[in-house]
Amino acid sequence: MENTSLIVLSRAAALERQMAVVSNNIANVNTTAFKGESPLFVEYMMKPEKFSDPLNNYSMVLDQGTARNMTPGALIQTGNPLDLALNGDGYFEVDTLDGKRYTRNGSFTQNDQRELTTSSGLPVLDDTGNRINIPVGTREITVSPDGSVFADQVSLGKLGVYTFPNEQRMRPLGNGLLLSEEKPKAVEDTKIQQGFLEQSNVQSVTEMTNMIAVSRQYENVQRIMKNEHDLLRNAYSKLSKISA
Amino acid sequence: MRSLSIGATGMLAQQTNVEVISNNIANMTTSGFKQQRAEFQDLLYQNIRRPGSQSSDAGTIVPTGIQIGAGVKTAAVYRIHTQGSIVITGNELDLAINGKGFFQIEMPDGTTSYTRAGSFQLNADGQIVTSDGYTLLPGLTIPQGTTDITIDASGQVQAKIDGQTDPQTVGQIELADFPNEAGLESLGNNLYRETPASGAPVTGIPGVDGLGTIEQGSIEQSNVNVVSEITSLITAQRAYEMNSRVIKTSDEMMGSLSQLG
Repeated sequence: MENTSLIVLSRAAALERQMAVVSNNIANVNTTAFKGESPLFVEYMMKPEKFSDPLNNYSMVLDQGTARNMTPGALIQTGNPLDLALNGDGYFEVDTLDGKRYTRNGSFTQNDQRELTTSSGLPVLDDTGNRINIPVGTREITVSPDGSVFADQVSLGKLGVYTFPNEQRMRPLGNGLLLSEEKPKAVEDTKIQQGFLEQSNVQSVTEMTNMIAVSRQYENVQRIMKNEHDLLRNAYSKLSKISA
Repeated sequence: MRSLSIGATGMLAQQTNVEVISNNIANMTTSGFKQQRAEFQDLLYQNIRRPGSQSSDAGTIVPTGIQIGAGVKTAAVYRIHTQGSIVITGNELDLAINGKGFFQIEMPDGTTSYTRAGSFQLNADGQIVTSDGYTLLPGLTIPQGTTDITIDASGQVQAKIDGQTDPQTVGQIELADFPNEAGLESLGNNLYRETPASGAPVTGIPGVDGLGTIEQGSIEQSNVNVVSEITSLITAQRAYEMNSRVIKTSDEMMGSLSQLG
């Protein structure tokens, strides 16, 4: 008899998780190069051998994963020479203590060793896996659309831009960084735009609508739980009256 | 409920955003002011089910895992060093830089700071100083009895002294340039300081090697674009509202839970 409660509970847990994903999207509506996420749910069937038993013939909701919306964000002009936007597929490669990580956030700066770094200080790598050093006395840094970095017309190397066979399998680590266990593949046709940043691709209208939907569905779930509870209580009180 | 704290990080970030925008708007008529921009990053993710982990004994793998982000944080607030418009004031010690570069200013503690607000004056010793009285480097002393100061586009300072026919060359104003101007630290009073992120300054003669030229009798206005700031303000306010809706909705969801039974 408690199956109704359990099924509804699985939906409530899924909705709570969906709410966390939606609120993370809304919180990141202004985050550079953020990709919105949406939860994926599947129907979890009870074991087929139990189907003959009507009490076990039901299914539940199971959250399967979160999918990243890979549509590109709008480019916004900042005019800063170290702000780079990827116009097309791919990720910049950055060096961390734990190995190579990937990001689309091209809001770069330089550190005290004059290396090109992300805004959190992680060195950005060129297409040969080396750090990019900006020489002393550089007046102007230019980045051509193919990713070649020049300091006063002297080439410093070409920024490494990579993509992966399945971008959905990349794991977000926060700070705009992603990690993949797959082998990176160099991208050729992506253009790098200097003085621009990629904005978040979160559509606030969609997210607000999602949030309202989650909230209403959650109310319905609660109502079913309450109805089920009332039903049981009613049944118990009636049944106990007959036996008395 | 994760969404409660996620909404809170969002509100905090948008609050910072509004603060940065309001500082830009407050400085829309500050000479040489460069607008700032807040840069946001996503927070750590909680891995509930890792992508690529095994989903059955047959070796099938999860194509997409479950990762739930913890919200947003402010990663940086940096300046955008685009050229501000130049207005003519007619004051002979109002200098505007048309192009790249900064005036070098000697601070009272002996360090050098940098500015683009070229509203200079003379002090009691005839030195060219900022409106706070800090000396413009290299120190230039205008001789007594000067009736007219001429500063050309390449920064050469000439003084026309009463009773002499030819103007006398007093000195040369040099500009400093940085590879990454966005990395400069703001000191207030329109002054900036060198940091590891900005790189070391390279000094030179105005108009040479990519440095800007000097316009005498003019002032560089703030580069704040009021229209874009107001639209950013509206966006930030809406984003703030949306995050507060998230908190409210999460609260309602929790409230309906406690009414069960």
